[in-house]
Amino acid sequence: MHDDTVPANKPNTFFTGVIVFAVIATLSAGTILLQNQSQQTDATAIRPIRVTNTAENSQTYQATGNYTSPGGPETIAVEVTVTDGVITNAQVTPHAKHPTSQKFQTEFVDNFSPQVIGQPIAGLQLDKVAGSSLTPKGFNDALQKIIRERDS
Amino acid sequence: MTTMQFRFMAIGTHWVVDVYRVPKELSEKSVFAAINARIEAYDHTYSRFRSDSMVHKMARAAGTYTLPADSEKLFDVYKQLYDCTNGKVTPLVGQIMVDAGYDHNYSLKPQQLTSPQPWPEVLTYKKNQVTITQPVLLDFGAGGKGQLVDLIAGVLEELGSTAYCIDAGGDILHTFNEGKPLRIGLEDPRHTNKVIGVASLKNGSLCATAGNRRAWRDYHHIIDPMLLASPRHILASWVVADETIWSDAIATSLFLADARELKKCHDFEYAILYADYSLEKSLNFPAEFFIPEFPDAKTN
Repeated sequence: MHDDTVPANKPNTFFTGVIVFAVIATLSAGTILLQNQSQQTDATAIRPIRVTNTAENSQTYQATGNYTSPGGPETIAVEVTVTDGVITNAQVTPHAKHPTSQKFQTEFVDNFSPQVIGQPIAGLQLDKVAGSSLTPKGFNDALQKIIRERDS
Repeated sequence: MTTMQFRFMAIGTHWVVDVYRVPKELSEKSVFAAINARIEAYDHTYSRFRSDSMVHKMARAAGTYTLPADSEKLFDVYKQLYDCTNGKVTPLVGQIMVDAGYDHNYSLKPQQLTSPQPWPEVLTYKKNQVTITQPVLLDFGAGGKGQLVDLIAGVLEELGSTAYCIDAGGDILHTFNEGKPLRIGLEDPRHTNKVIGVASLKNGSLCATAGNRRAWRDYHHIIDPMLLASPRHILASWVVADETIWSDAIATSLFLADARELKKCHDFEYAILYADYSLEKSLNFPAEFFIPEFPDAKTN
């Protein structure tokens, strides 16, 4: 076990806890998607600790979550990196003992990825924006035409 | 040394070319003329959207064709992607795109689609000599624009510039050794006034592909040649690589093939936004993404 240190930033600690909650909630439900991150469960053995300063304004936290599966108690490890208050990386390591739990945890780890949301361009200082290319007028005109045909 | 900026439409998209350092004796007019000439020559060879192109000539008759020297690189990249994706990435999809309605008239009226024949049965090339055993409509939509960006970089370097940024509708090549990194917003394909993250590009190329704009009826501009359908599980992909031809082609290829397969072809960093807004990214993709803040975080 690692030495406990007091995390510098309480909300960051909370992120870790919430992710572990979400992992456990998800595994309990037997699904592989991370959803409803604010969902609370009664898992109690979460002890997030700060482990490294990977870069300026960036910290990595680790936590181990315990939960009870139908096959008995299981654990799973979570590591998140928080940069400027935003989770920039998250890794989940399966520690399950029971074969069914191993399967669920492995499926979760293979498919785990944080969900993202957009922020208004107006509030950000950007040099460029990269997405799909703007389309030529001819394409847009043709598209409008088929939409009109469909709706008429 | 002086700076110049050119904004224009070409090959169906908006271009912004910033030349940060260019010899003073060169006029804007001459630099723009050189850029334009290169684009025109490329379009005249590879465009599926103009009837006087070499690609259209090849769609009318089998035979051996002499293409410009840049064709060897283009075919090399496509052949490597073809081989490492079991044929899912192929330039032989031209007829599929036309049948789906993405033709030079933008008819956008889908007909029955047919999978293309295997590359080795139809096409061979040696340097810039390309032999086709039957008339075939080639489509370089995956990597052509990227290669053109690299070729424009070559034009600027020949003119004596060493620092520039070429942006062809979001396919970006940036070379500015002493400057600040370019901050590039990664567009949210469903809300184009938003970005889902910000990439930081020093020297190299970043390309984006998304199915939101060039989309009609059941299709968008990428069609899986085996499934004969446009992939819907991915909303957008972003790729950083050393050359724009690679980042452009791989960004499209990620809609059709697994990143692990593609890594066998060429080195790259990537991010994929899936239809459920989950994110997959390679370890060193140079961007930060906006992860939702949990509503309870402030009260704890």
